[in-house]
Amino acid sequence: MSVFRTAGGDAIDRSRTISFSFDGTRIEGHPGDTIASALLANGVHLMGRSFKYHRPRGVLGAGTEEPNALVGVTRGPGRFEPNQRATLVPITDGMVVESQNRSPSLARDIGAVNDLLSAFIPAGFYYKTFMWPRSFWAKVYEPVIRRAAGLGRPPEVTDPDRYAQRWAHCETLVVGAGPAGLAAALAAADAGGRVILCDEGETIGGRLRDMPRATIDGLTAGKWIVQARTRLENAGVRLLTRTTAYHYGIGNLVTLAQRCTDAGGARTRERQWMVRAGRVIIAIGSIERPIVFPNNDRPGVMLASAAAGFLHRYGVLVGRHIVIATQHDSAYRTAIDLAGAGAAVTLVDRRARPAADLGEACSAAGVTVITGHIPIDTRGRLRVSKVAIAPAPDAAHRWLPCDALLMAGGWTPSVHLHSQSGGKVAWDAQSAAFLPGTTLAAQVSAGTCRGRVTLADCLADGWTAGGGNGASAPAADDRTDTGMSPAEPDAHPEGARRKAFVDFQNDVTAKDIRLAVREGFRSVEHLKRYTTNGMATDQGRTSNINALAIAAQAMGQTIPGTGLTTFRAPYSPTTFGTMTGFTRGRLFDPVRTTPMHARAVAAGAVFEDVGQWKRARFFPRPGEDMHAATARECISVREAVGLFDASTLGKIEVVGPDAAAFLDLLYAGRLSTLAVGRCRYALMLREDGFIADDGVIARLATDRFHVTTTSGGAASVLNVMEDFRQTEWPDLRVWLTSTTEQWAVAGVTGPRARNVLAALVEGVDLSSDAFPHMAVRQGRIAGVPVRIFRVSFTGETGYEINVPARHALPVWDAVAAAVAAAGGGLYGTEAAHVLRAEKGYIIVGQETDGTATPDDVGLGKMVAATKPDFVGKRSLMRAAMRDPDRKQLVALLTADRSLLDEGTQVVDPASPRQSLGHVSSTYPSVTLGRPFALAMVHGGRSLLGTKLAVATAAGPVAVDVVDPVLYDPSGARLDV
Amino acid sequence: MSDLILTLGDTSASRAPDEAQLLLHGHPRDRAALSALAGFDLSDTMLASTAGSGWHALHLSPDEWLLVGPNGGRGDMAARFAEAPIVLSLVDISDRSVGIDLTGPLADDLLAGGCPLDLATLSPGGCTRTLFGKVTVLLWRRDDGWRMSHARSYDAYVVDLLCAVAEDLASP
Amino acid sequence: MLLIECPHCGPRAEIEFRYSGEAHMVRPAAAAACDDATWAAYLYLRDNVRGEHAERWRHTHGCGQFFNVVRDTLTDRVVTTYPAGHARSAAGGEI
Repeated sequence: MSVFRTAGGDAIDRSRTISFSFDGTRIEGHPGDTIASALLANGVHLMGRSFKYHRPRGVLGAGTEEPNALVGVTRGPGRFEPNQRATLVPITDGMVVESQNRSPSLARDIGAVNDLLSAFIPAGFYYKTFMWPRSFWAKVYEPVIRRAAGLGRPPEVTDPDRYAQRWAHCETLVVGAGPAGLAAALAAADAGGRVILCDEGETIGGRLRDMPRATIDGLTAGKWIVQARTRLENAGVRLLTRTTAYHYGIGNLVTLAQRCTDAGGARTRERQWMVRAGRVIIAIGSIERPIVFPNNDRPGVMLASAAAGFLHRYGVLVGRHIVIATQHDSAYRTAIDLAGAGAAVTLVDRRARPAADLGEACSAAGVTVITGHIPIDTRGRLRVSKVAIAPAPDAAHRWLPCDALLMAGGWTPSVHLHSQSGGKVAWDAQSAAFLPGTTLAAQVSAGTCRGRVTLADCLADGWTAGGGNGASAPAADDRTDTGMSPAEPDAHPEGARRKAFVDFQNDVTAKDIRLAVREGFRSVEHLKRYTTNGMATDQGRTSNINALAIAAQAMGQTIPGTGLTTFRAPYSPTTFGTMTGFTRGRLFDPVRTTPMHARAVAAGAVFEDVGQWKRARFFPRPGEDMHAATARECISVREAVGLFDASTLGKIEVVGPDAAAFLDLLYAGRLSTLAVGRCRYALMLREDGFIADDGVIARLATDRFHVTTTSGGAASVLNVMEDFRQTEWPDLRVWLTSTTEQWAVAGVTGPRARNVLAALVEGVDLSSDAFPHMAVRQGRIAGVPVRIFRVSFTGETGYEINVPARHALPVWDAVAAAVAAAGGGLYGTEAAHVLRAEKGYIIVGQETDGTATPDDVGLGKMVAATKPDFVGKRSLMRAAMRDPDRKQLVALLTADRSLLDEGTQVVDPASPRQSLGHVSSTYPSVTLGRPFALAMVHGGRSLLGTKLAVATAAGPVAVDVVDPVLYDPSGARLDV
Repeated sequence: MSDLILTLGDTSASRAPDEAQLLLHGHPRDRAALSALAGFDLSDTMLASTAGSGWHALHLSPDEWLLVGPNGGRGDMAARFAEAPIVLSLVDISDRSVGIDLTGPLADDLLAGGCPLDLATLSPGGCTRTLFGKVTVLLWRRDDGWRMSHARSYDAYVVDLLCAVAEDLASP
Repeated sequence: MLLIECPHCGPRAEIEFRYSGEAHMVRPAAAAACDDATWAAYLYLRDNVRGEHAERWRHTHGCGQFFNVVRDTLTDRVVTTYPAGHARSAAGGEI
């Protein structure tokens, strides 16, 4: 079919042909093809436009290193992904691929004018321009920059696919299934223990797949890979292909992104593995470098390793007339392979005298070899058409026609994961590369990523790293050298106007780097950020070392003396879907519901989030808004009886002979004097003296207390209590048990509350003499044993019925029926807030903000100052804590009867720019017949009876400062 | 509420039966006396459980054992500790949590979707608190699989997450 | 993510724990009687160690116990862990 397809290719299924569209053109390929290989098979090299200059670009690489061929891929509604590397995305039938960063089309892109204007947009362009006139920024510069910035276009609808995550544990994790990784995994499997082997490729084998003529243990490379897979599977090794180790974290937690399917739908699209490994063997290979010379970026100019990959994996010839520019040996193998597949190949070697046997092998294969030459320029608008070669940049040149130019500038070992693990890298002069140095993590690198060069060395290195005995390592008979050699950036003469690209994705040229050095940037980290070299999505895989070499040369330094930038996760672009995993929608954060939740739903409740809890805020009847419903619920409580789900209150059972002594230390009040069967309101302070939490504490027995906390404070109060119990007073004989979820709580409050309970409760004398306010009794309702606390958060007579959660519904239903029969009904948190505020009861976190003392909120009498010690006591003794000008709790009544906003500032009308405090709570009140507010005001209690103002958007509103207890100040209604 | 939450081939998740749970705290040095009160030996190995007369005791913290037994025996067991000669705390938490039994070949994988723990470190009878997603759970390896229990307000989340993990495991 | 050896439960993922600040802060014995400077130091003054730092963690989603960790703030490596109430040795470990 396709003109550039050969007979080879281990990745594709030739028996089937599928098609996709690329910028509207139908392209055919085989299952197993990537977008790039399918396009190249059809002779299409132009795949994108560069970011800054909009220059036409084709693929540079064949895998994860690809900087140029970024495309948008659509696989159906909601399945659009921008910035996909065409070299990685397998084609699927009917998928739609669009090129990026061009308008209107790849071949005719108006942005290409930037290329002509490039003299005016050098490195640091953004920092140097757009600075004046100042008024141009918002209206002109920013909108223009925003339009030009960014890669691709973002998806616009919710991703319909499923993502997953899984924890895994193993003794050995091997990253990379090339020759070294396979050998390591085989050895580790022999040694026993759990082994996981992952590789980002579609299948295992890595670079070995591009070495079909190599033999290992008497088998061809392809057969050996198959045999290795079988051995690993039989040994129970977990083999994860299409899986990239993208983050190497502390504690040997390596995070893998597995691309389960490209189709989505019912299958998991991507899965994140969080692998905790005893040791990690990093065998992630190395990446070839381009050669830096003018116009080295035209479509058809690519890495020699990429051409080898396309040939051996996909059966695709990248051209028919191929020139290879090299400065080391590994390109010779590629040249011979390409010639063998039918291409006319000319190999241009920088070296004057390469090894003789290489030349002979080339001659035998029909490859023309020109030594002592380098490429110095290219031509061809949308595809390279010829390359100029010369003995030196300024020497006489000649043109070689070609339709593909391959660059073999040396190999860069991938030290990314080693670096992420906290390891240092060290320059190795012999291989002219940074290699893994010391590390504190339990990991080791193996193979070409630590500078091993021959296949035999890589196999042996992996085998040894995996724990194998060196003598029994897989033996390769191919001694082919990968020929690592230093980058030679001086091919680009300084001062030339033509661009020699270093970072293809961010369009950074050799000239940009030299300019930055001239402008005084010396640190590699600064150079990187100023030029943006290595900051694109490929993270400088192909550019970092060349850029470093150019900078070092410009500064007259060595490469190791110049330094290397830090490698950070992710190793490879990773989708938000992978990182999110299950954590979306209902699983984003737990939603906690009480045992009576279904009843609130049935009653039409509108819920509010209180931490993770769903709490019923109000129960609207037809036509009611929140204010109307809340007013009705308040009237019901004040005049009849209301029922409230208080189950979310935190509860802690404190048990032991020293329980009372412990609570005396933890709370500001004195609990040791509390009689059995009685309750007391108590404040918990922090050591700095400010209110941390509050609640009612009931004494069930001499050595047993039932402590309640705020709904939001349940976990933190228990944490603080455990902290002091375990570490400060470990000798106290007391234990804590969270009972928050043991008990469901039905709050019954109002003048008819006692009547309601009288009809329900067995075994409790409800008379005020026998069961007074602030007492606790145990009885039965509907046959269920309950704890009843006579407490009030509304100012009315109230009971909180604690029911074992399993039996909550029958008790709740019985109580609800009795409440309804008494003319009452359900009320929600909104009414509860209004009712408590009318009584001046604080809510911790509403009136208090972490800087309020008990006295500030009018609860100074809750502090048993004569106790020798309690948490917060010493801080309360500071003079500043008793300053009469501290913010104090008051109520505010607006003269115009308007409703204030929470958080607004209280001011003196005479000096309205000086804040005296703030409004902490504000509600309309049907009981009071007017809105009211609670506020924290400096010296507030001394200002009772005076007039202040509250600053609003419409201007100051006059307010009367009054006592915070606006309803039933005598407390008579607590005992009705 | 159906007892069966999900099935995945031979693997299933189902509601654990209602059982009594009494949380016992006492000083580790009093373990012998505590064992005498319980009527069977309480483990002195952390994260291990022991059993006797229909009850299990899960040693979850240096001074903490969770007693799990038949609902009907709750009062009797509690009474044994009521007038103890040693210092201890016994609190009935039978209603605090709900349990899910996971059995079958993929039970470990179901947990691995949300649990950071190396499950291989727990042998049968082993028990620990850990996380499942964002929720604290108690894991207890039993002869036929796992019992996972969690505070009841989190039940919808835990079940949703289990089902999401199961869907992933079912994905080819 | 750290792997922290809980003295009671063994090695666990960091997400099971909650950090609780610098270890070995001694609450003044007679808190009510100590001077302001002593109390302020207890409340607010903490070392900002470059290197091995003794700190408190709680195995919140596990045994619930507070314990001490020596962690190298340069490498984020856990050097050793030991129960609350135990002294830190010169080498950073438990005595």
